[in-house]
Amino acid sequence: MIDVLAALVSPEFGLAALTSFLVYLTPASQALLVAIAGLRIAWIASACSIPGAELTNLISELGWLIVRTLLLLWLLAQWVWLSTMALEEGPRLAATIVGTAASPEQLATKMVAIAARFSDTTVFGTLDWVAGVDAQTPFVSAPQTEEFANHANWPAPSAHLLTALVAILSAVLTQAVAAAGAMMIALPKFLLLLCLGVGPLAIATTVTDSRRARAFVEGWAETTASAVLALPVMAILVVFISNAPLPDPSIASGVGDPSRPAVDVVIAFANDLALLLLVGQLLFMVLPIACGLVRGRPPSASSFFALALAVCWLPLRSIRTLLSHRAGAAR
Amino acid sequence: MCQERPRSASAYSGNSGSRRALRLATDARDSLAEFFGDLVVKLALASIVYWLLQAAIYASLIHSWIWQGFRDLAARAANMDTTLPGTGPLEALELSLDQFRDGVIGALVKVQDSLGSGLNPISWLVSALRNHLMTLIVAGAVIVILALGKALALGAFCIGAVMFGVGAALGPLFVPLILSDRLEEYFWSWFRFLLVSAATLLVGVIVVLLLADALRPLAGPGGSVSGEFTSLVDASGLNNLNFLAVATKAIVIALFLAYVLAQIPEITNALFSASTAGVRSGTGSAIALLGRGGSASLRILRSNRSLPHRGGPGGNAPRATFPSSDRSAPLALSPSPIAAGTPRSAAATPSSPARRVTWQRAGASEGLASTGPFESTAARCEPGSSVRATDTLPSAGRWLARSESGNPIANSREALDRAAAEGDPAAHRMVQFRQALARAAELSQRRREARARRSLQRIPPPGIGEESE
Repeated sequence: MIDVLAALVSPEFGLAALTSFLVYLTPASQALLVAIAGLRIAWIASACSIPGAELTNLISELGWLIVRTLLLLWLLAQWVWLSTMALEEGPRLAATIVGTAASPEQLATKMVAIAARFSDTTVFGTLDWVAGVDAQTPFVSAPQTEEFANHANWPAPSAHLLTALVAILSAVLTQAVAAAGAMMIALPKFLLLLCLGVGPLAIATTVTDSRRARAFVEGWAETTASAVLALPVMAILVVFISNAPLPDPSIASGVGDPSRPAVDVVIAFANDLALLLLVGQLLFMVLPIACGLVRGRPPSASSFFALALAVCWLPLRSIRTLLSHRAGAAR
Repeated sequence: MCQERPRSASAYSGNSGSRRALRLATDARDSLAEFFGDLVVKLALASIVYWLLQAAIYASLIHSWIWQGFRDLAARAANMDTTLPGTGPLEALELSLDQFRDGVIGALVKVQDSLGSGLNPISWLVSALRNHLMTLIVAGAVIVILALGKALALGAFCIGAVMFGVGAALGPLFVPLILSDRLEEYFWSWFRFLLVSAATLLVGVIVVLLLADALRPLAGPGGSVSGEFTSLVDASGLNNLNFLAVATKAIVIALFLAYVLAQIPEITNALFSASTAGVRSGTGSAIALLGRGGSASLRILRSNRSLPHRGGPGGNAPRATFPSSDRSAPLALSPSPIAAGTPRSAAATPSSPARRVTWQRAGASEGLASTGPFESTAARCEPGSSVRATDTLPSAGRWLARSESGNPIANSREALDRAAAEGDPAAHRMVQFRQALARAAELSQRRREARARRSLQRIPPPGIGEESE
């Protein structure tokens, strides 16, 4: 896992694919740029021939156009080098901000360490514990006895069922947090690669001076800046979470103890779940924070809240889908 | 031709520096004073940026002034002297949520105990499937939602600090951008981000204080819902319906709590941008989510009970409409063709009478007992008239008349103009009204264009220089 995450963060990841893509796109963008500039020059030249035209304005326009075209052509010619630099600058900036502990490998190790707090040993250990507890006969007597006040005597089938559900949920949530971490590492990188790939096209369109082209370039620049800033943001977040006094998963303390009441397992699960959701919420914020930094609008937890609600509604929606399939099959 | 361009500084603010330098090289008549004025401003700004970017000064400004300032404000708002203001109310909220959770789990044990009793294995199985599983699912949902609320409560306090740390760490990248006209807005974006992040703590404290005050009678120690949980836990046997009822209250409270806490950054954003759009959209999305979940569960219930869909062949959902044949009938509610069994596809066709279904207010229907919905316009044109306008208006007023199918005979602009020219006062008023609307629309369009020009200052608007000449 560490190797995969480190590979995702490292500047070399995707560089070869990007370079081979740019080999085709950059000349095409240069041709587009030259064509647009040629059209504009022809337009200015024809405007000069109109009687009463402001020659000084037109000449300054022409000069500015030529300078800008040359500048953009140079930029396009250097685009592969600039892309490499942009890919390298994210980790370097992250390392500068949070210290030397932000090399790709160390960052990945820290990310994995956060997810590993809720490790599979804990989760599958709980499942083992459920299987190892002595099964009791189901309760068939009247419930007005002393033993009902004691949680340790909870009916075994119910306890088994609930604890197994809890353990399965823990496994799912742990994997979800690990996946969120990997996605939060991978997503800005993919976004950055995509933006750098589209970059020559965006640069070529700047010379048109049209409103739509300008909006496209601004959007591209903001997205690229967000993607570049995502890695430093992630490094700061990881350092913050690593240094925060997060308690250890409480569900782990009961693994291997057959005398532990099932109620305690559920309470421990609820505590772990709250902690896990907090970590997930912070990890979920990497790209939104980077984006908010560029746009001046800090993100809220609403999207995370909506995601969590959607997960809560997932069983209902799944049942609905199953029922609709069943109804369709019956018809 | 040889005039100055007074608007060049504002209109060409985008790439003005290099562009104006080129212009100056070719046309010495351009505003040199403006150019040098801008230069002085830029130099002053550059010196401020240089001074600001020195490590000690930057750290002092960001940490001591902005962060500590908002923190002190939050401490004053919470009337506390602790290191992290608002933690007291936050702890109270956490305690309430934990009490809920313990209550759910404690009551769940009793519900489990009371279920599945009896020697008959079939009844045990039915009980397990209908009650046991349902109770487990509800209890699981309560536990997850309570954990979510707790995570959001903690996250609301963490996220502001994290965002401020990110903004402060990346600040030296953004501060120099103020020197470039094109990139200046990114500096202001960063500055706003920093302010909002710092203010999130303040808003969080206030929200948590308000929530703690509001929820104390419900969820605090000795609160009504907490009391219900206590009585459930203390009961020797428990009906699962009682458990579900109290668990639902806990779900509602926890959802409300989680939603409000998740909105803290949005509220701060709204505070700094003087717009509540984010909060509104967040509310809308949350309601939509809840609605979707609710509709999904309703569909499940409906499909389980084999209820017919509304409007379907077996659906008898009542609808209010007008009888299509008599347009002058009173505006009473009557069964629609859909309700009478007309298929939905047929009812939705343009020629179908159901297309003319109109909902009217009860007051309007009472006041216009003898007129249809279209005649009411004419009745208003002729105050005191309670008879059909088409019968009383002069021939010029036939523009209000309707064909047998109920459509206006003369609904075109030309027909209205013609009627107004013929001296119909109602048509004249309509024309005046139309012109007023057109003027308002034109004014609004002009304002929109002016706003668009302002927001796109980087683009030299074509023809601005020519306009001023």
